[in-house]
Amino acid sequence: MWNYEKRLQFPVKISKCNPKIAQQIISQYGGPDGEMSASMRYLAQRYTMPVKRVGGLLTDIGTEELNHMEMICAMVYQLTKNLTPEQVKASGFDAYYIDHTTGLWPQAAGGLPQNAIEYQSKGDALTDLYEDLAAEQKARTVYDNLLRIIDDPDVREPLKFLRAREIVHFQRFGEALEMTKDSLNCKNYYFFNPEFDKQIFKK
Amino acid sequence: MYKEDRCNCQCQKYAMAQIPMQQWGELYDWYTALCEGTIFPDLDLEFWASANMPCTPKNCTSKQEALMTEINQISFAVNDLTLYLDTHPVCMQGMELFSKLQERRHDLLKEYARLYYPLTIDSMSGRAVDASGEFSWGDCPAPWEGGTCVCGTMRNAYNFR
Repeated sequence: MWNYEKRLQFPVKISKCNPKIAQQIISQYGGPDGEMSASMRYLAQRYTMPVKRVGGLLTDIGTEELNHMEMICAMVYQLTKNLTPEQVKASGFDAYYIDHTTGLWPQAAGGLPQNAIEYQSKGDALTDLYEDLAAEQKARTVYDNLLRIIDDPDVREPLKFLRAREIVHFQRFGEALEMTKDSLNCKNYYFFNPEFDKQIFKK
Repeated sequence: MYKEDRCNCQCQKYAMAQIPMQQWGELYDWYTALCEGTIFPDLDLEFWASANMPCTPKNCTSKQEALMTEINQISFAVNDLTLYLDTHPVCMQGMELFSKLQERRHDLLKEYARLYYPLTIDSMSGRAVDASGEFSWGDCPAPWEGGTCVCGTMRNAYNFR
C-alpha cells in the first residue's frame, strides 16, 4: 500500500530549457542503474528476505527510489517544456522526440528501453544484498558522470542530493548485510540459502 | 557487528564483505541536511565536481514558500532517520528525535492543508471542498511543475495557476 504526497522529496526548479541535459539524465529514469530499476529491484527482493528488518529496509529504500524517479522525471519534463522544433533539431533530442514527443518514457541515455533484467532478484539474501550494494555504487557513478559535465546549477543541486542518497543507501545495505550475517553461522556463511533452505535457517 | 555478543565463534574472515555499523553522532541542521542529501555529516562524502556547491539558506518570499520549505526539510530528516533506525532499532537518541520530528511533520502538513491545499489525503481533515466548491485534492499545482515551493528559487514560469 502506498500513499501519494504532493511534493517532490527535493525541489526541482529548472529555469532554462535544455533538451541535451534531458537526454543525459533520463538514464536515471529508465537506464540500467536508474531509479526505476532500483525501486523495482528492492521492492521485489523484500518478500523473501529472511531477516524481517531487512525486508523493512528494502521497502523504505524502494519507496524512496520512487521519490527519486519522480524527481528525475520532473527534471526531464522541465528541461523539455515548451521545446521548439528548432531546439529539437539542434540538441540531439530529435531521436527521442520522434517516438515520444516530449512525453516521459523510461529509457537509458543511449536509447535502450527500461528492462526488467536489471531488477535482479535472486532469492538469496547475501546475493541480493551484494546486488543492492553494487546497484547503489553504479547509480553513484552515473551521478558522478552527470555532475562532471553539467553546468546548470538548477540541475546540479538535485543531482548532488540524489548522489548523496546513493552513499547513504550503500551504508544501510551494508548494515543490512551485517544484520543478515548475524543470523547465520559465521563459520560458513554459505552453508545454505536462508531464503530457501528454511529447515536449516532458524532465527 | 550488529550485535557484538552474538558471535562468539572464530569468525570466517575470508570471502565475506564487512561494513562498519554507523555510530550515532553529530547531525546537520535541517536546511543543510536537505541540501547535502543526508542528516549525517559522517555520511556526507562529496565528489570533487560537486564539492564546491555551497548550502546557503535562501530568503523566503512568502509564508507559503517558507512553510513548504520546512515541510521538505523536516520530512527529509524523518526519511533519513527512518533508514537509520531500520538498521539501528535500539538507538534511543534516534527514536527520541524521530518522535519529535514526526510530530512536527504532522503539524506542518495540517497547517499547510488549512492555509493552502492538502499535500496528503490524511491532512485534508474534513476540508474536501475548496472555496469554489470543487474537490480540494486537485487544487494544487502538480509537484513536477515546480509547485509553490522553495525559498528564493520559485520561478513563475512553472507556477501555472
